[in-house]
Amino acid sequence: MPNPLETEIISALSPQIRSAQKKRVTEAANEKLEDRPCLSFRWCVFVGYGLLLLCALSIFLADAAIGVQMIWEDALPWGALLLATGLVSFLVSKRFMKRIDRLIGMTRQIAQGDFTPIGPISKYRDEFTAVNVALNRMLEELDTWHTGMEESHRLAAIGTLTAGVSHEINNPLNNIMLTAHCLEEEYPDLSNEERREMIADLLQETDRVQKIVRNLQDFAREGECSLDTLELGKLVEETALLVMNQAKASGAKINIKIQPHLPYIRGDQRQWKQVFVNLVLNALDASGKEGKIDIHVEKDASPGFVAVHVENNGPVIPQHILPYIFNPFFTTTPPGKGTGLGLSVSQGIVTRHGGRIDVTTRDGRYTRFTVRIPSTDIAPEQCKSHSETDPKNC
Amino acid sequence: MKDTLKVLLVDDEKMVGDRLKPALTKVGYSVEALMDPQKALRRIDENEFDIIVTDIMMEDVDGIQILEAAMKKSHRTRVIVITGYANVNLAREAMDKGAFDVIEKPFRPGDLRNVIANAAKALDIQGEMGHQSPPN
Repeated sequence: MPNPLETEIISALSPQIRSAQKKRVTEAANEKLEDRPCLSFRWCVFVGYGLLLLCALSIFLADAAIGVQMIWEDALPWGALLLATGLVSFLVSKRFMKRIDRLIGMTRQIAQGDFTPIGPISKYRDEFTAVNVALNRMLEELDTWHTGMEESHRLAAIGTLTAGVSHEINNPLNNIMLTAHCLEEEYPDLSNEERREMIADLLQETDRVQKIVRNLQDFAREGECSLDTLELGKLVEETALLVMNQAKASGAKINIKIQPHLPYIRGDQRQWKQVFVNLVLNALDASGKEGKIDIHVEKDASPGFVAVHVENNGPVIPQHILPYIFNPFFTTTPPGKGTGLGLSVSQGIVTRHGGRIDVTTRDGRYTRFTVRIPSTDIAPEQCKSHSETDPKNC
Repeated sequence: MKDTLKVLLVDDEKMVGDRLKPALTKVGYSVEALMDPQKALRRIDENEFDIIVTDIMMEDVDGIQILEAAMKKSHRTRVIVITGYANVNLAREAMDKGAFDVIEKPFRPGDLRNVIANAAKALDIQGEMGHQSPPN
């Protein structure tokens, strides 16, 4: 029999257990809400109006039964009143339901990480205005919380990448150290040509370090997000460079295929890199030693979109956990290894850029994440004048 | 002890071989530098080297595989593993599998010469003791 205190401590410490418990509580609450007879507002209006019609009809029939002659001039105002009541009830219920449907749509949008505030849909204020204002305040809070969550996840990813990047830097650094020492030791015995060759090697390796550091800096820098025109192929290649050493360390192979002449995309370069770094790191985790990861960038079948597919040949994601993989803190890795924020953060970034992220798995073959991104006609030359800081989108 | 120690240098970074081959030849070793680890495996199979210096993280074949192949071929061979990845577990794995020493990148040519000299000394002692299995 487990000690209740122990169970409580384990639950508090493990995000995976906490996430599973939260899911169970939500499911139980939703089951209670849905497992009741339906008495919708729309039906209440219809039934109420039906009863009213029935009363009017019974009065008419009762009068007819006792021989009272119904004069059409008397019945007309009553009929008109009934019709008007019916029309008003219909319009009120329609207006009411439109706002309810809009709120349901909003909750779906929020669940996907889109925190765009709600705007007015009519000229006048009503009871729902207060609800919308409260929702917009909640969205503001959620956005702040989500930004913090993204930042935490980005820092975790930087930690993972730094280990790989340090190896990548150590190689050119080692070449510089060996070359400089050899130059110093053997200087008098070297020909001018050999000396020039070694100096060229030193410069080449320094450039290599600079390139690696700059790439990591682009990903790790802090600051406001910007909305720029970006080359998706280049972005994916730079991301692959960041994770190449993780791949080397795990013995996995990364193949990149980029369709030529792709349209540009808009967004924050760092955030897009965060999405791709996360998808590739996940793929590396899933495929394990000697895994194979294919990154394919192409025009999407939907017009106006480009797609990035990240596919791995590791074990597939079981069907029963597929609906939850984008939930915050959902992780299949042991406690302390993964944050469980990667896919949730990625989905938030993709949705805010007007894109979509999907997963498909085929048993025994692959797991593929597809990111669909809206393309843009704004060329990078025009981009300088169009580049803007857009904290709302970040 | 043989007159000239046969050293095999395996690193997929061309510059490592370019610099270390003359630096080690200068002090009297017979050095073969290879960038392709697959080719290195074939050479290990064909020849018995006294000392093998190998990078740990390379495409296709890693340093641990080179180490295993070298140990399989001859327990006499001393394998020095170079790593750019400051990973204690990796170093422990290499030592457990029979590596003579692990050197972290970046290093000076003199650092490697010292380790090779120690390995040569160990070979010498072992030679005098009549080719016993190497100490771990």
